[in-house]
Amino acid sequence: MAAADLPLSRPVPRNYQAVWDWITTTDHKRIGLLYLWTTMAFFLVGGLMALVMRTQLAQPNNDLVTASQYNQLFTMHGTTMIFLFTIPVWSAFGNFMLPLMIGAKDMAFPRINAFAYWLIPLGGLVMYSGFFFGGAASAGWTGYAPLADSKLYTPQAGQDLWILGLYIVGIASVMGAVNFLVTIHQMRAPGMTWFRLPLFVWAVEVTSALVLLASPFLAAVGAMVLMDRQIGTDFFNPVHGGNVILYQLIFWFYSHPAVYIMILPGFGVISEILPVFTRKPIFGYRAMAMSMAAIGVLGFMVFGHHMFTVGLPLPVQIFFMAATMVIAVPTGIKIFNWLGTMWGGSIRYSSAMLFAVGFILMFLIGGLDGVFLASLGIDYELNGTYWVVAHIHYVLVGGSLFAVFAGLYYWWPKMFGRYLNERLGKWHFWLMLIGFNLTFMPMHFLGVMGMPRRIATYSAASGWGPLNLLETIGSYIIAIAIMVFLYNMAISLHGPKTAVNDPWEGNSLEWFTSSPPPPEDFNKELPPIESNRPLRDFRLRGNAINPPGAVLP
Amino acid sequence: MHRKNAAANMRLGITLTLIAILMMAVAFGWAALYLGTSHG
Repeated sequence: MAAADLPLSRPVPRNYQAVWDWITTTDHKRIGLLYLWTTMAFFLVGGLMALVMRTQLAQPNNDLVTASQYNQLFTMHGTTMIFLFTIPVWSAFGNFMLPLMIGAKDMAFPRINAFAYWLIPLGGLVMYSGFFFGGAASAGWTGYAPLADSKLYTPQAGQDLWILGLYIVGIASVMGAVNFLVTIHQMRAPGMTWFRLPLFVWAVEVTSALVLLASPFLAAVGAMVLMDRQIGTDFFNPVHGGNVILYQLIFWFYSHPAVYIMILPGFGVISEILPVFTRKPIFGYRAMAMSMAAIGVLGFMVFGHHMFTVGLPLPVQIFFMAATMVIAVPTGIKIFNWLGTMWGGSIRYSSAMLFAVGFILMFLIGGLDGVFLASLGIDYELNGTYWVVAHIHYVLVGGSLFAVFAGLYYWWPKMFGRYLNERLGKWHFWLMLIGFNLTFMPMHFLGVMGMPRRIATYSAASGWGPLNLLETIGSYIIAIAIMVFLYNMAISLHGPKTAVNDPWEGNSLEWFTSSPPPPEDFNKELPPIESNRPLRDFRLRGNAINPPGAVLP
Repeated sequence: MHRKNAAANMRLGITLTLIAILMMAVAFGWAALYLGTSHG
């Protein structure tokens, strides 16, 4: 009997047993759901902060919040959406789906998995506690020196708590990455060779390697800032031999790979969904897997494009510009292969498929507007303007968030044994698409017009008012779209469990087991794995996965 | 899980954790080198 199965010395009251079971769970599926609920809660908080900011900017000279409050809002909005939503939400899918997809019973280290999860809400609470200690962090999600480095500019304890919170969340990320890597390398079912792995598993593999290699750099630079603030070192103080550029070098050595940490699992999700809803194999499976690995490697070689305006030597700038253009090659391979998968397919536009197609289109725009920022001369003009805000949101909202929703509509029946309402799903998608483009497309124009990011208000004479009002209207449409999704979730979770094992006629092993899966994932022997579509092979041999007469959604 | 598999998992897990710690040391080394060679 394992230690975790031993009876407690004091029995837990029956009323609290269910709660206690969730708190102490080491089941990868339950931990995946805990990640999902926690990150969704942070997403809603981050979204509310965005709405306050958009309301503030709806008209010139607005005074809904003060400049100081606005600084805290955009800092905590960015921090929340990046470190408490987009990065950890992929652990929800990774935890729930990855062991099922490779035919394993659990993650390699279940207890470490549970511990890593609990660090996420703890890290978030530590960061948010700054609001109660003189104000939250206010130096932006990038926390640049000298703004974040000196108590002269950010005297509040919230700035220190922000670094501590990042540390806690970062440790959780690294623990999760080690767990994913060991699980993928050691626990694949017999026959599950590297080129038979689902592309989502490839994405988690590359993402975890990035987390493992890049996150320590964020930890190191965070430690330097904390030491500067607390014990008087001078890593970033030029007066005493420090250098502010050093912060950006180390920070972006982490944070550019972090962009791929946020988007690669989305690539994996889309690569799972498209073949299922087009009834075709993924176009160029090996090229897709290798392009993710190439993006992972190249992701470490482009960080300098965030620093064109800081005065790096010109040859260095040209290197980073060229490297950034090169990374468009593997990314382009993925886009072409997704389109190749859809080409001539028998496409079924379910909500998951709509979000997948929306992802491709929005991510493409995010890639194209990034080309302008990667071009030296143009970046000098656009750096620090709303163009950058548009770009990051096209990549991380139009990209990552659309992929999250695609994944939720796709895997929801497996996670909960219930279906999401397709009609509401389509309302959700179209409202998101319209609201998203209304909010973020005008930011390109405002960037060209010279509106700086991170300003709390602007004068009427600037001429930025009408576009800002349009963006605010768009943000409220996004809020309505999210409410439609929450309503869809609520009615689904209160409905009966009617989902069959394989509602979409999927390709990978997670659809072989029941919906939701039993405690040890599979209650029958796995089908033979002889290709990267083992479940399709199994069906084609005349085997039934769903009960006879099952009605598919 | 079989004891032999668990031991292999532990070995790989510890190796990866050590790599992460090593990367943090590399970051501090980079900082020392940069501050030693740059001039403000």
